[in-house]
Amino acid sequence: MNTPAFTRNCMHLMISAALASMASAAFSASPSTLTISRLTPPSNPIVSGASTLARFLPGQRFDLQATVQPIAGQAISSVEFKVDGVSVGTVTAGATCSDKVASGNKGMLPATAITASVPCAVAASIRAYSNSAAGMHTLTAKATQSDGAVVERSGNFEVVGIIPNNGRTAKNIIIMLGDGMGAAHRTAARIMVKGYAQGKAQGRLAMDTFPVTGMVMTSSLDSIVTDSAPGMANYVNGNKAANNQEGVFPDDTSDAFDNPRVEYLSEFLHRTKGTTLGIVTTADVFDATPAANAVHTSNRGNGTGIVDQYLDDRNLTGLTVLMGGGRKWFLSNPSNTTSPQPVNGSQRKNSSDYVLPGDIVAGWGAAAGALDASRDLIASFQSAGYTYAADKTAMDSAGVPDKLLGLFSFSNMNVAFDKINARRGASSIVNDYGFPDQPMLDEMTDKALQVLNKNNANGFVLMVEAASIDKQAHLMDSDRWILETIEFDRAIKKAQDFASTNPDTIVIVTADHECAGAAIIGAYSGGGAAKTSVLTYQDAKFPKYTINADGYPASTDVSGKMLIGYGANADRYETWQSNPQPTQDSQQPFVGSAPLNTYPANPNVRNSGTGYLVSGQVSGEQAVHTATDIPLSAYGRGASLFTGVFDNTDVFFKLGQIAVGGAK
Amino acid sequence: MLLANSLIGLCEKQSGYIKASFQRAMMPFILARGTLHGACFSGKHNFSDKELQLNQSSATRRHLKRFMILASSYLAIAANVQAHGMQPNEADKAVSEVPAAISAIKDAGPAPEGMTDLKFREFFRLPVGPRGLEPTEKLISLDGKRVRIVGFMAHHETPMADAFILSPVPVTLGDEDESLADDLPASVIFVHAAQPEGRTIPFFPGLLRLTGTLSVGPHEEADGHVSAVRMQLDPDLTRLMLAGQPQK
Ligand SMILES: [Zn+2]
Repeated sequence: MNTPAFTRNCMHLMISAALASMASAAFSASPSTLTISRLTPPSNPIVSGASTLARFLPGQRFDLQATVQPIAGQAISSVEFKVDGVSVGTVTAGATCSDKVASGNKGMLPATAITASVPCAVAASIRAYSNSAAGMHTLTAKATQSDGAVVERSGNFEVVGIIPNNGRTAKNIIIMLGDGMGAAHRTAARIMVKGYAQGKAQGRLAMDTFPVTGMVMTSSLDSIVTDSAPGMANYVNGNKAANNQEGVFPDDTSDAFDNPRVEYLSEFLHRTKGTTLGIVTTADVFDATPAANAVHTSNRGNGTGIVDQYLDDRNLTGLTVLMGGGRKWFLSNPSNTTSPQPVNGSQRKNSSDYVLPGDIVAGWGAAAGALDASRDLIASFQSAGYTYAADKTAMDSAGVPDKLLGLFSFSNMNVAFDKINARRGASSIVNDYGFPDQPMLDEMTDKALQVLNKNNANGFVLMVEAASIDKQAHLMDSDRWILETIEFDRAIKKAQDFASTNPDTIVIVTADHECAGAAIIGAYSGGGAAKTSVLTYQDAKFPKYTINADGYPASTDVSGKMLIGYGANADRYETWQSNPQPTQDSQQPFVGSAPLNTYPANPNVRNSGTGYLVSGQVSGEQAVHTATDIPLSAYGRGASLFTGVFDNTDVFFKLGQIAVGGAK
Repeated sequence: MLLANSLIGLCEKQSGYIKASFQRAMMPFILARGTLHGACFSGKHNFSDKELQLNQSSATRRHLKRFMILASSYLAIAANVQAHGMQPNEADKAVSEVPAAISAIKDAGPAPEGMTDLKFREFFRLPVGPRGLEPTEKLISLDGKRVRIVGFMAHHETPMADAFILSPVPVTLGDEDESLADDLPASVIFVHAAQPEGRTIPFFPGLLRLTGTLSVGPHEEADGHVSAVRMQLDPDLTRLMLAGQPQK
């Protein structure tokens, strides 16, 4: 073929021009009229008169935000917010629509999650708004386009009134959060540690002795089944959140730290009453449940920014105690890369760190943040007055410091089953992980209460999480999550004892959700790994465990042991015996090296040579959370409010009533 | 696929213990790992290198149990390799047979005069320090010395010139930095060619035994990554690996 070069090039040009115009037609989705596509706080759009979506305590702060989409070729010039028809502020745009504007607590940002398809879409905000008048309020955003076109959108939110002078207020609030702990987890712990005979439990767990118990509905903003981020956050800020998000509403920017915020209980009570905050967990402290008490982000995975914000915004939360795992996020990483990891094993990276827009900084009084993977965060905590404990010995010898940072492992801490067996000299699992001297959760709780009670003029908020009830239930390692629940109950006893001697304290024991659809299905015949070994009904009898002086069963592999089934299960090989090794945790630093690399990686390979395959309903390697209601038990000042069936967000308003208005 | 089938065939002949379903589950692993599994499982763990073994035991029952534990962890690794996007046919692009000079299938005996055996688990002190991982005295003392080490060549989606990462576990490294954090163990080693020539060293599957001169301490690599431990590969091994040809 002898086509002249000119013709060939010309055809190329024509084709690429045609493709380009097709592409721009396909990708540009600017609306045909000026549109407010999202108004925050979210309203209930379904039925008028239905229970409202966004609710706040009188004076609790939250952000107002509107995502506005101009028509093609236009930009947004201003957005005015009105509450009950009265203007609460107008946000004015910058010179171009890609400008980030911040003027006091007012800001306008490019809506970067949608600007690829809708150029010049913006998110306009008024930060840290609050309203003290109880009742329903109408929120209206009015956006003006550069050609003068105007659009309005309205929604609503509710301020839930507090009954004033309703009795004595609680000075201290203790939230005991058994991650993933449903009714079956509580029952299994009771059967193992207290024993049953002739149909009666031979003793009570500490949480069983709480005078009031209710049932909690746990769904999140975007699903009947929640994950742990909104599961915690809605107890402590009163609002539904989307999965993966903590302390924020969803937005249309790609930055995970600029979302519209909701003030946490810790922040609200610190600002209004001067309370301090304690966070204690067996997980990595960057994990969703601990972070959802103090950190505002739409991405629970941003470890560097999450741990930085704990310290940076201690003046907003009153953070005084932070204990758990997660040392890897606190170590300086000047290389700003984890491939390979720096020699100290740091996981810090600028890409998971934060810098806040100016309107959040001004509105909330928050620290601006910095992209500083090289930060030595342990040293930063120490220079801010925190005593640092790296193991149980250091925690014990610290006495009762003013402030305490405890980081007892690189990621999630080892579980009670392996910690207690190490103390008995029966296991070296914790040595394999490189952290032979980790405290138990009750010891951490005891220490946290001492520190928080040291300078306790204004009270405190303490959240204690038993994280691995959930993690081990995901792994369907029954023996390990039952011991986690026993360990948790020992921590609950510490909180209960504190409330007994400090009666201006409310303690609630709850969960963020149920995990794995756990069920006590009977007992084991001893007949080997097979269905025929599962004894049901009267054949199950009453499994009997010997409890050592340390409070834990001498062995979980007793004859006629209790058997657990899972309704939300993935495939697993089951032997009905305890697993000598925990299933691998990919976040541990030595997981790739011997001996950790010889631990089973997942339930679908664990015991694959010795167990029988129990096939699950869910794909993937782990059991999943369920939407089943979970029990909540309360003790102390205002406990009587926690009865009946209620939503997880209701817990926040009950706590607000007890802390601010009092309870009889 | 041919490679996998022939290996499975080999396994069937040699192994009385492994069930067919088990072998099917092992396939991606075998594909990814090539000749490490040319040896197959025979009920005895015939991994020659102590790095992969637990405590020695002569009792057959414990032997079997240990094998099962090892095997299940390999299955897990296989699942991991799959989950992180290594397609079975990628093994075809790799060198299909590892030269005996760098294969760790056979026990190599004690290290020769002037050379020290270094294991990945000897990189960092245990327990972990209050300020993070700390190199062991052994690792520090070997700075500038000749060492011999056994590990897996990381499979780089975008290979580096004149260098690759040696890891205690098989890993695939994507282009996206974000994806690596949980995959790449802390104890990895950057292996550099004896002479920089701007060439890509082909991927060798399976366990490799490499020798070279160690250097310890932070160092910025050509691609901007900062390595903690490096090894300059011996010249004869560099030539061998650059050639990427099966050695008969
Ligand atoms: Zn979970």
